[in-house]
Amino acid sequence: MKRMKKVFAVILSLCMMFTASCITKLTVEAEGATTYTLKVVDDEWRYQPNYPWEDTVQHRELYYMHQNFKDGDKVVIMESDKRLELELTKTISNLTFMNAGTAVVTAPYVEECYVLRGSVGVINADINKAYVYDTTTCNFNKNVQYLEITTDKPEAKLSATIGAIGEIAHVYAHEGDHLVFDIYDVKAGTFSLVEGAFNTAESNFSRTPSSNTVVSAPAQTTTTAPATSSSATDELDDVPKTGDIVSYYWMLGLAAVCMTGGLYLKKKNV
Amino acid sequence: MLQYGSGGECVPEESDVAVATQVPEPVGTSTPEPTAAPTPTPKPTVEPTEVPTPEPTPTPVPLVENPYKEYFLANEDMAGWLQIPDTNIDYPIMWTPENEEFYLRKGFDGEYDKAGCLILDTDSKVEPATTNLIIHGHNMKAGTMFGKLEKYEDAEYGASHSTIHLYTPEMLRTYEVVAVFRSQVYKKSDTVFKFYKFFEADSEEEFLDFYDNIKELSLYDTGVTAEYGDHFITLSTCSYHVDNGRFVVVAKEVEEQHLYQPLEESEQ
Repeated sequence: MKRMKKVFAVILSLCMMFTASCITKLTVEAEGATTYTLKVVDDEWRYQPNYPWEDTVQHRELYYMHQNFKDGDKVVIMESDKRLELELTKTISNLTFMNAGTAVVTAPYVEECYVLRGSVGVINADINKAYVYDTTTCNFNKNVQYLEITTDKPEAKLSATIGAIGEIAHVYAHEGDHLVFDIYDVKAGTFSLVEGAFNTAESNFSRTPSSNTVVSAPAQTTTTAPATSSSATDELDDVPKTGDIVSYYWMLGLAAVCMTGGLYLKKKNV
Repeated sequence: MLQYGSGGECVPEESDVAVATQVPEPVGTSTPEPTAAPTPTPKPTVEPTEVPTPEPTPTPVPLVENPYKEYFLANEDMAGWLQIPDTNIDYPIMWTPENEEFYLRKGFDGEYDKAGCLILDTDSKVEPATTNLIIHGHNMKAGTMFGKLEKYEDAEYGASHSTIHLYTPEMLRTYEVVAVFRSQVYKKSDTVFKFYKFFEADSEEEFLDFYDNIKELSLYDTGVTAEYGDHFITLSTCSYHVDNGRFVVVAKEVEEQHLYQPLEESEQ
């Protein structure tokens, strides 16, 4: 009987070790962020739960996107002349306007926002980091923690038109390596940049950060990639996972049996 | 020079008229010699041609009821039925382009089933068929679904189980295995050959890029070749040789038979 106790204990240990290693596999298979690509098809905004847009893949009405969208998902708005009004109740980890026509996005919070060349974007959300490129027009109707304004090419000049209703903690504007302006604590409703010309009164911002300002380090040569390439850098291709998970449960069951057997033998004072 | 008259017609100028009426000088004055009478050309003898034997017109084979008709009618998500003779691979293939993984852990009836169903990749189409049909299935330890697909690793097994059948609503497609290999799911940024990205060959170059790569990766030479215009079926399942590994069997379509009545007609 003592021998049986030892056998049970060894089997139990092995089961727990195996199960522990398998559990990490289970967590790895947890669902990641989905990138929703929005595009006009037949004069109607449609979406695909993937990027880039693929004409051979089925697309659906935005209504279904609202049903499936979860906190931390990403949104890419493709080029179009048709106005878009997108209202989400979940946070967006990455919002990209890709040469989009007028697009108005409302959400509780946006972690990173990219407004690329030629886009007209209105964002009704608090934003952590916003990046505006070239000739874009955008309005930030809530607070922005960090706003970076730049160009696609180092030799180009700032040409964006930007307005902000909320406060902006830090604005960093540059043309390649050339710093245009670097300001902090912009008061609500005062920031203005018109076709690259800085239009904000000195009294409405500070040249140095206050103690409350969380300073975001600007990217010097390469800015953080928008949803399009950041997802491409880290994420695996979307291919169905076709592994088996039965062994985890069998091992857990066997571990439970061994534990019960061990306790029983102990109780019998063997 | 021509001019236009009052009525728009072309009217030659006087100088043109003068040139046209000049009488050419006679060339030579000698009397021509009489020519010999030509020899009549013998008429060719017409060889009798063989009367062709009329070929018997093949009797059209009457269409029959699809053997999987009740499955097709029971669930409209079913795109086809996959069968490999002498194996347990004999399952419906589900296609849900709006949610590719819907049947990944669901049975044919839509209820939870850890083995799931075979699923046709959303970028593949059965009718009309894309160049490549990619079918994903679980590598079940119990051997169900694609749990025994890795037996194709053995060349002898591959040779003796080379034929794959795909039943669609009206067709029976037969394939022969052309390549067997191990691969994996790569990152989106990786620029490598990704077997799971090939669905349609819009050019010979695209076709050969896929074909040459699978042949190179193949664990052995199956003896089956393909050329531009051929169609493939690709069976993919998880493999544990690397993280996100895949075991893949690719087969070439060798026969397409229109055998079955349309599902609606066969109900009558």
